[in-house]
Amino acid sequence: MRLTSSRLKTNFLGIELENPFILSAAPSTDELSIARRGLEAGWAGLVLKTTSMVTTRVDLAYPMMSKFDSDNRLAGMGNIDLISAYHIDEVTRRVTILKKEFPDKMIAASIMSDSQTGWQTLVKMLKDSGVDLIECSFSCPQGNVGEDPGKMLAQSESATERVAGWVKQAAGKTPVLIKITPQVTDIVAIIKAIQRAGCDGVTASNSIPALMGIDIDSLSPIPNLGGKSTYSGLTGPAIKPITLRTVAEIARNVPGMVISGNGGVADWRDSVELISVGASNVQICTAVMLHGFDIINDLTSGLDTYLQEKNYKSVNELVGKALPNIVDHDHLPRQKVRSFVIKERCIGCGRCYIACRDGGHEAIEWNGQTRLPDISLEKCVGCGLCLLTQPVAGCLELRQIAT
Amino acid sequence: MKTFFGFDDWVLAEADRCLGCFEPPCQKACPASIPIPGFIRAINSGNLQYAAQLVRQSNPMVATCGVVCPEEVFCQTQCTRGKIDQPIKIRELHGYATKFEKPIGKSKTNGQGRVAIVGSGPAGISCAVELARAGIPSIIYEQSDHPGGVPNSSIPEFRIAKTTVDEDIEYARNLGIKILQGSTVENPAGLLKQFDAVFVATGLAKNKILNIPGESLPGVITALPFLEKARAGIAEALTDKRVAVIGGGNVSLDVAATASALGAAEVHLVYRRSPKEIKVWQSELAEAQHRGVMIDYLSAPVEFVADGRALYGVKCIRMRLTDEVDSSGRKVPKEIGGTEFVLPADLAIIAVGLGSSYLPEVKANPDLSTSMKGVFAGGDWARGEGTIVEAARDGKLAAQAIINYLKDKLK
Repeated sequence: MRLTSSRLKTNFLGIELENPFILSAAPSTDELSIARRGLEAGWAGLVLKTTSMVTTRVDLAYPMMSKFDSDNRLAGMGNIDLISAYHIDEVTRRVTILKKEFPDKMIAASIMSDSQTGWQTLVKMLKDSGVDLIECSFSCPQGNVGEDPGKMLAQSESATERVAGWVKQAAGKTPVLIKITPQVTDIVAIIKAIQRAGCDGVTASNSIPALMGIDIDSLSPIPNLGGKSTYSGLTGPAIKPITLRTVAEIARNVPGMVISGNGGVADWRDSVELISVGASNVQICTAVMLHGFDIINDLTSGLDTYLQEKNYKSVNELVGKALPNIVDHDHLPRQKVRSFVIKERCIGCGRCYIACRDGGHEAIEWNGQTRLPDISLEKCVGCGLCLLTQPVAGCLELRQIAT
Repeated sequence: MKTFFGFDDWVLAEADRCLGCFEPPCQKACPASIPIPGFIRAINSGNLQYAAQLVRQSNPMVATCGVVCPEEVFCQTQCTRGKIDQPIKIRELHGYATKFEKPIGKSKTNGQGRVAIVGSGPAGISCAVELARAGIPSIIYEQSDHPGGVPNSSIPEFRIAKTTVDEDIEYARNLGIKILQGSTVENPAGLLKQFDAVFVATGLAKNKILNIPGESLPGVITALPFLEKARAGIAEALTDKRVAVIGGGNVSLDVAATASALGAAEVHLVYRRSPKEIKVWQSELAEAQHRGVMIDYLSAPVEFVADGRALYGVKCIRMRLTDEVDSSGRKVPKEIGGTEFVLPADLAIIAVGLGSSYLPEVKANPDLSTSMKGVFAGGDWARGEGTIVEAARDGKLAAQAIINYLKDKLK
């Protein structure tokens, strides 16, 4: 069911979006027919998969997708994909077609190059094709313009500032987003470099370099390509906490920086979280790759209902709303909390007892007759470990107690 | 999903549901004390050989129990997960774990004596295995021509396959345990001349009877011979026959279901009390009813009636429950005068319980010793009708009692 709601409308760097959900530069935007279906399904816009100069060789290796599970559910997806095999000539053609077919959607494109001429040529060609926004991938290990080979552009403050400057110079009034990596010592320094270069915003962030696993039978890394493999880009639920931290860190330290959030959002609740720490909108890729474009209906209706219930007139009011609550450790309130067993909910599994005994403070007594845990007010420090073992919601509760 | 270890989807999904309780109530409810959360965790991590080791170590009859252990009596009734949704299918998981067992070699003897075991059923096998693990060799005397006791002679093949029971017997044999088939032991005291201790686990071979007129008619038989012939594959077909089974326990359900499987046109189970009092496992009841068995509740046989020598029915009388309660805690049934009727039957099978006429002078003690020094006893013979897992527990406990006895004796 398609939802149009005034609450979801947002303006992003001058571009009107019907909702804050954008298809990120990824396989779902790498074929014209697929991208078209995504927009038809209700996504507010898309970023066409990262493209390059026609001279750039893109040598893909298969299989490229993998995953890792936690508790037998997918926790993270990995890919050893590269940038698009379609070059700038084809991508600009598609931008023009999509812009014509979907004048009310944001048609953006992502680019990557390894020289000033390259970056600026790509930008100019995209501008000519009518693109709404240009995203620059500074988080592909392939395009580091000679600085620190193997490293990403966004891992160097000076390279970031220099290249971002070239791009913005060529882009003129067309908005430019720099897609960064969270894998840096000081994310704030990188963002400030982007700000100095005059770029309009950042996409925070990208997949996280990861080794997806080792097949313990063959000792081949995963994904297995004839016994060999390489590091993957990790995406999906596992990276959401990293994305949240990255976006929050930027929003807290670089006021005014426009952020498009990206990484680990699987449903509308995740999107609320990401927006509340400072993202103006949300880019999604992995969830679409696993579940299809139609998740947009749940995303929009879920977010809209939430906004309505929380009395927000617009999603824009939610942006950064949780930021004042993020403080440094030494500013945390020192409160006295204790864990309590909710006897009516307790099913007597004793997992809290085991956790507190072996990983907590030996604060839980176990009654073997009644199979009820009893938490000592004196020994419990309120660490909250026991709550992580709850077999059913609400069998344990942390409560503040009078000091 | 086929993983590199090669296991099935449902197993992983089921194992994943285990909460891993502290002082697991399931394990407490298992007579063999199988470390249930431990072996399920091993399954979940793909450590299947360890899972097999854990279940075999605690229950030498684990392959058999993995198929026939009653889910509504022991571990599964206590599963904490059942308070959230459904209990874990523990029986199926432990049956599955045994499939990954690696054969082990003969156990070494420690020179601490030799033991004779009478009966190769679950109690005898378990005792022998537990003794072998402690380095004590034993020989099992088995009266019949095949080992295994009840699961291999009177439980219907459709409930447990011979190949499954044989896994447990093979395990014992691999440890070096000898089973002498066709060997009857008249008096265990005689064995004490060659052996340092004897374990009596003969089971129950005597069918209880009703003591009503017509019981000696050729068309009236008892449960055990019927079940044994059926399991051995030498039972006559019951095509077009009407069969009446008298009973109300699990054995009577096995009998009725077997009669049905042998082609009987109609099978009635005559039970004197109501559905509330019937002491059967729901799974067995469902199996029998699925096979078309009809249960005549609140009916009791008074006479087997024949035309000449040929049985044509069971004269029954309707019963009612009184407020009086018997030692089993169930209401006592009373006849309702003038309600006699004849249930037509070409064959009547009496399945009203089992007993034993073996060694009436020997008394079994709760600690599995007996009134005869050096003789220990367990399983159904010592305790009355029970389950396979309880017999296995007896075997283990008896082995411990014997080990302690031998230590004192050979000091």
